[in-house]
Amino acid sequence: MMNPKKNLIKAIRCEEPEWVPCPTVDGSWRVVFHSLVERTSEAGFDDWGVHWKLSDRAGGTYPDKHPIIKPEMVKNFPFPDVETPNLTKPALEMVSEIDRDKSLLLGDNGWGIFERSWLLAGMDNLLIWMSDEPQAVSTLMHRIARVKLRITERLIDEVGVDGIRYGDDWGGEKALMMGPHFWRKFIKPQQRLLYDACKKKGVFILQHSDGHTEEIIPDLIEMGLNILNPLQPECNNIEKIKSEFGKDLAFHGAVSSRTLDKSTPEKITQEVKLRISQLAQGGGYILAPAHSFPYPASNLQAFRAAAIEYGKIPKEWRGKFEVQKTDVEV
Amino acid sequence: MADLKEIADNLIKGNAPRVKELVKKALDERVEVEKILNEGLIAGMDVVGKKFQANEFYVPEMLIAARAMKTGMEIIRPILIQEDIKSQGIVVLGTAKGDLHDIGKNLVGMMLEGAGFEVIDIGIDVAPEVFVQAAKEKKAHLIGVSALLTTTMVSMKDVVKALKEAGLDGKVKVMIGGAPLTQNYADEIEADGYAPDAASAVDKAKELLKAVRDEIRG
Ligand code: B12
Repeated sequence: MMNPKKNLIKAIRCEEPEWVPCPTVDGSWRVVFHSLVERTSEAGFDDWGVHWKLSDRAGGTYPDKHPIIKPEMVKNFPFPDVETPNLTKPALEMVSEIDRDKSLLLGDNGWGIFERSWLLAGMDNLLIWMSDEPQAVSTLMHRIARVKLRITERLIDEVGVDGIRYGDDWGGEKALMMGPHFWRKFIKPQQRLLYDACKKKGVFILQHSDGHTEEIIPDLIEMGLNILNPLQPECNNIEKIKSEFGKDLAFHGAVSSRTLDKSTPEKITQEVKLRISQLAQGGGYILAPAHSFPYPASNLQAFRAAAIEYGKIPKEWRGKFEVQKTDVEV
Repeated sequence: MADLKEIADNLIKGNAPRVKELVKKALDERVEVEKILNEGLIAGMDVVGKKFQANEFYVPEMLIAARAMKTGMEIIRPILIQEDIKSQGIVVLGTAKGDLHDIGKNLVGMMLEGAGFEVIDIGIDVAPEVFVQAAKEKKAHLIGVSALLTTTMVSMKDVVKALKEAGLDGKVKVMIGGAPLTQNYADEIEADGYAPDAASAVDKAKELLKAVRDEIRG
């Protein structure tokens, strides 16, 4: 019998599923987290030594002090203890409440390599060092990757997750922020280590990056990526991407978060219908908003109704699953 | 002979030490300071903006070019002041209330400075009244507001409103930008202008301030 997990796996493998999987409705995947503090909810330091400031007006905390102020600090700056026995505790606690026959289990890895680098060094410093101090940038990213690698390994070994979710915002609205040249030079080699660890253990890889990511999709496929999120529709040519890469890569997201926030239920229904028609044929599409954001309730209702109707989600799998927002997701 | 194109070329490459050297050399050779500014530094930044627009340059290249521009400006600024050479106009620039995104706003600031404007950056999460207050204090000609969120772009309307209430509409222009914004939205909230990227922000600012600038320059 088909169930949400099996149906989702078909979609991830770019085979035709019975319905368009939509994790917030059919519960086809659940996400679990590790214990490192990646972002504080009050003012204070995260586990990497970055200071976060609370701003009620901006709806949460934001990084306001970046501890690595000189390239010379990169080499010996103390990193969090990734061997702590507690690392997988939150994940293990969550797993006990998840029906693993019906839901795929994804382990969230936290802030990505680029994000953690700019959180530590500051965005301007990091981007300037890419030209001035390339060795320091490579060292920093490699050190971060080693921590991330252990998180991945431990989530797989101790929790038994079926996939790892890597988040890292590389894209701005029209281009990769650091450019494809610097992405390939600095980020790709480290990201590859993280993907290799997943492939070695046979688990799925999901990569999140906001914004425009189009031109590195061939690199990501070559590295073994399974699912790309969120494919922001304002920033990427969805039809072109599906026709060129739709056999090799699954996509998660693509429903405009701008439409979801600022539009009418009718327009949202149209948006969901459009994305399904562009992406779901032959599998390879997992339906979701391109960002988790506090949307107006009536709009979320419209999203859900359209997901059920146009995604053809069977009655028995129409549940309600909260968006499991990681505290790092941007 | 000082080669102004060489200044521009090195600025484009982000070679700050070389720009410094060449600007000094040009000054030693008694090249007019306004010429160094326009045909060296500003000409270079103009190319940088175009390359960014064309996805040949990305944020890292913009940052090192802007740093080279700054290095050059530091040398000629005292002379510009001495000779009473006016900027293209004064711009108060900030990110809308509730919004923390500043990478794009910073690039807009760099490009405006690189085009000869005086830019006063008032930071992130700026309330509408603070924009207007700063514009008053600094005698600005233009307010630039950046927003990256659909939830915060709405406060741009209040900047336009606050400016009206202060009786400054028409005197101080409002230019808006950021990923979710459009010309349509600018029209809807009666902002004076919108630009999709940092290079077009310069063109738009020049267009909006043309009348004012003619006045400043006399
Ligand atoms: C980097 C980033 C962040 C960083 C910002 C770091 C920093 N110091 O700025 C961090 C991690 C802090 C962040 C936080 C959040 N983010 Co954010 N972020 C982005 C991201 C990936 C890139 C933005 C960027 O810097 N681009 C590069 C620059 C160069 O481009 P730009 O900003 O567009 O600017 C250019 C033009 O727009 C224009 N321009 C910009 N300003 C101005 C001003 C004027 C006057 C003019 C004329 C022109 C102009 O010129 C610039 C240069 O050409 C975008 C994705 C995207 N599609 O843009 C999401 C995005 C903007 N974020 C988003 C969200 C939801 C958030 C959070 C709410 C997430 C969360 N849950 O915490 C928070 C919000 C915090 C807050 N209150 O502001 C969503 C917004 C969705 C929506 N419906 O609006 C986006 C679109 C991602 C998505 N998947 O949908 N974010």
